[in-house]
Amino acid sequence: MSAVVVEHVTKTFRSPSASSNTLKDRVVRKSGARERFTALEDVSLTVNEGESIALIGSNGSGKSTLLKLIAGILYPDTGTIACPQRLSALLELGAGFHPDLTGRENVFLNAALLGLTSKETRDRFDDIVGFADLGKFIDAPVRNYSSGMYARLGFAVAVNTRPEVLLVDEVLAVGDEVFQRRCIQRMNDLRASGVTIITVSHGVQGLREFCDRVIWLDHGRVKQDGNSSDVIDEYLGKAIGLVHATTESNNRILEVAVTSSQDFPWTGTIRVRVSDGGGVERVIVGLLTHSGTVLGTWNALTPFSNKQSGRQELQLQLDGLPLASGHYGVSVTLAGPNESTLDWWPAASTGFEVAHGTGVGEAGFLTANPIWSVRE
Amino acid sequence: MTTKSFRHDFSVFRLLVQRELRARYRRTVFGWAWSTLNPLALAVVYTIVFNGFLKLQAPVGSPSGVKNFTFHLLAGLLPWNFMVNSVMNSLAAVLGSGPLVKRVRFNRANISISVVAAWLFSFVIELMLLLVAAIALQRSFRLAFFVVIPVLILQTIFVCGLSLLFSALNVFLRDLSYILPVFFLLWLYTTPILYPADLIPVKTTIGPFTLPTLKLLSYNPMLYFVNAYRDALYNGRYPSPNGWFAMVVSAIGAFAIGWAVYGRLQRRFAEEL
Repeated sequence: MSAVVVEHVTKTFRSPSASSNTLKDRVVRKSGARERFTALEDVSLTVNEGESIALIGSNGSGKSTLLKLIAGILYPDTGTIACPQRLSALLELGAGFHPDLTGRENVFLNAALLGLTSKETRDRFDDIVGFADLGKFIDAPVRNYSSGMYARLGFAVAVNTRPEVLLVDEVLAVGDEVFQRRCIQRMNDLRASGVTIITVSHGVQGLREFCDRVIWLDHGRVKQDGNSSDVIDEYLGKAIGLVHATTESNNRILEVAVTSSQDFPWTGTIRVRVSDGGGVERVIVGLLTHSGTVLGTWNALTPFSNKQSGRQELQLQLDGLPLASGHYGVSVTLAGPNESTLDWWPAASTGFEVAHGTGVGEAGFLTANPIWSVRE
Repeated sequence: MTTKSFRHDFSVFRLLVQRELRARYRRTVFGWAWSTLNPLALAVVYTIVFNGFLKLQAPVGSPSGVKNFTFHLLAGLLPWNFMVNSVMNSLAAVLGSGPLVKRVRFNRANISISVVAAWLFSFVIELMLLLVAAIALQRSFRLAFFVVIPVLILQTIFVCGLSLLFSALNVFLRDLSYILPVFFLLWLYTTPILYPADLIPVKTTIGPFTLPTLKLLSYNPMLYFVNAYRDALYNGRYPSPNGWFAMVVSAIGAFAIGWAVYGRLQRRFAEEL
């Protein structure tokens, strides 16, 4: 039996530049002229009862939008979404907590929002508080909570609503390690008990084990839908070198692509296609973490000096970086005379994934082949 | 709507009302006393200005024979405040509900209706105090007092309609937060609440325009609600059939429009908030 059926769903948003809601904007700009961008285009998929699936894709591929549509938070422009069962969406832990109310009061409010009656919440209250492990803080206003306590209480409420369909949007990346492990444990329990689980993930760590099926979204369309390992291999192998064609002008970056091995340590090649109008004095390639921390930069000085102006391709090979599992990005800057910036390619557009090891208990950006031993 | 989703809606609704009530007078010295002190203070101010300075008189209640400016004023002002407070706070509540709307699925009409319910709660307390005053002033207990109950129900439906309508529109047109107070001020002064109804002329000439004032007033739904409360509590009689008709039509009309507009616009709340 199907738990979720999505049929021919298309969803567009107003572009951020046009989303202003004052009278002046309405009058000055004719409403018909507003630009919209398409987040999802003609997406269809079926999730069977008891299945665990993941939606993967790069930033802006539409995976979070799809999850919110299934959750009933957004409505599609065209197409239909059917989810006849009790659904609980973990889009952000502790969503709807009111800072002035106590933990106890918030449990009741949050549980009601997730679909429980007061009586059901009372019956499960001890389980919830036990899982959240807050001690006497349960009767303090949540504005005094640490972010970890906030997340623990939010997760505890959500998983104790006993949903039939659980939607998870990367919320497990919060809290300390012990808590994360307990969350993963609880998710596995839920999966074993037959709960349908749909996860959205930027990374692919752990997805092979946790998911029966993976759906890869690319620019708002389903690119591949199938067995987790097949889709993840394909995604890691090919999707990484996303093509971003931009309009050609004098000095511009046309495309940045990353191809990498899945070995350890990481070895990869960054290819930069540039339209050189004669002004490019320096090409700077930066390696960034998911959160934007710069791990390293590499400079190519006057790379095209003895070439004719026009299209050039520059290649940078990086060997043996001990990157830990996670999501990374590559940014490229074209610098002209006097350090002026001619063009810039954001790291968010060219991301790649490093996946090795178990993904459990790993933090940070570096790893090694650790050898542990206990001294006799 | 299934029973289960109805029960879900109801428990969300109850908790939102509780939240609204608990948060309202938090961190004030007088706390909940403000819900009655505030309108009383206003009544004192208006009585000094309109009765003391401008020498306006309250009509003599018929058949009750009561003549009391402040009581006459409160019987109109309290229902008025119930409406304005509900609508203006609904606007703010919907705008403030962004984090919730973006992450949780629930019937969003709950946000506005729960604000109305919280203000209804304090209005009912005020009405009970008015009823005590009515019994004291009229020196008898009349059956007409019970009229307040259906009038209150009709007005609540009317207020829910306005709250839904304006709070949904405000998401897409934020100027409403600034336009509405002016609109309500105009509405307050065109409704005979602060002054007796017989001061309103049949025709008013402003520059080149002549307005059929009295006829226009008959299209003001709040007039009928205010009159009905005053009939019951001040005059001690039943509202006219005409008044009942107007109240039923405005309640159903406002609610139908508000519900339809809200139902349509709430689909894009998560994107716009």
